[in-house]
Amino acid sequence: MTSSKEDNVFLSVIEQHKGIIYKIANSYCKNTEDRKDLIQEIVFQLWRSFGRYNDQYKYSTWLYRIALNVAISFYRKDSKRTDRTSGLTADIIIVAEEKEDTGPQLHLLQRFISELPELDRAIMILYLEEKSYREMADILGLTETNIATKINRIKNKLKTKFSTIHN
Amino acid sequence: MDDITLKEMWAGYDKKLEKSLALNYRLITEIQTQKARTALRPLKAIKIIAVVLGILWSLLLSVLVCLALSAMTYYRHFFVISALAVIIITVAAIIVYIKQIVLIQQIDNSMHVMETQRKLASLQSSTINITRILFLSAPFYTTFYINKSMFEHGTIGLWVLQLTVTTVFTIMSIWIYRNTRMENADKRWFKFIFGSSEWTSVTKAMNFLKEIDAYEKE
Repeated sequence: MTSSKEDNVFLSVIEQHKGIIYKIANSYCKNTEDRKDLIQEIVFQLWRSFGRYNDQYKYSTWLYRIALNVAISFYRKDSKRTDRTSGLTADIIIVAEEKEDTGPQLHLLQRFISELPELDRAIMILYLEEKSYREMADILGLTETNIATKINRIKNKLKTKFSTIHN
Repeated sequence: MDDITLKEMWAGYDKKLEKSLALNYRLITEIQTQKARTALRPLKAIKIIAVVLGILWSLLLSVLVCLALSAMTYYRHFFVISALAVIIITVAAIIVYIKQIVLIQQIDNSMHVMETQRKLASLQSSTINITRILFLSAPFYTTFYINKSMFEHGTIGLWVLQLTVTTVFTIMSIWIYRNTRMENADKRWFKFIFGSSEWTSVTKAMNFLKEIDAYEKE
């Protein structure tokens, strides 16, 4: 692939999956500045890895792996971040009408997801994105049975949280 | 709250985002032209510097040992044995550093999430192994200078002090080597020695490794 063709393919992959990148970053970073930084880091790591992309996997599998790996590592660093991952100050993914109400239920779901341990959070995002157990196993490196067990456990946890709020 | 409701909520979120998200193409193009920078690159550089310094230190000590051996007297045994012990311990630490550099080379974010996270956490937590190993060299820094003049002119007070310091360093370094383990991460002495922010991330990594183990076994 020539360099400019590669650039264009990369741009179109990011365009197609920008929602995934944003949702992952939003689930691991509530702070706007950190989220902006995480998105930049994810896009940078995707670009670094793009030349080595293995087409035996779907673009989405490759993208989920990188985005989740970067997000989990980013999350595990100190919460007070003073270093910025790049000199870029603007947003890569611009959100229009960010303050528009997302609905109380969705807001609660996002809050409960962000309260989950980082690995459970990754599983839950993939589950809500309606990934098959096979694809989840490919992304995470766990067995399908293990994933199924964990999804049930996390769902029960979320249901309990919702019912506690509603009662 | 059933599965469908959760997924419907998420799908609604998706729809909303689809309308409101836009890419900043100029920034992505800028990223595409950036030189390789990774979070692990400075770490790798530090480890390489540590390996080089470790090798230089071991070489310097080896030269001094050779010189001492060429004009060997009874009193130089202290220097030779201490220096050899420090060389062996430094080489052990260099080996761990080299293993870490290899691990950094192997870390690839496009691999399975569990595998990559395990490697990252292992990398961070193995820093503690180097410190444990290096602690073992502490007693030898209290013996290398023992010389003929100390035997000939040293007072009892000097020898009591020397023996006390060496014994305390020996007991402490062996104790630290044996007890610096994850199970003790919440103990006060552990937090005292490894309480700085740099070590907090190492102990967090050790905890995360345990979490990953449990996660894969469940």
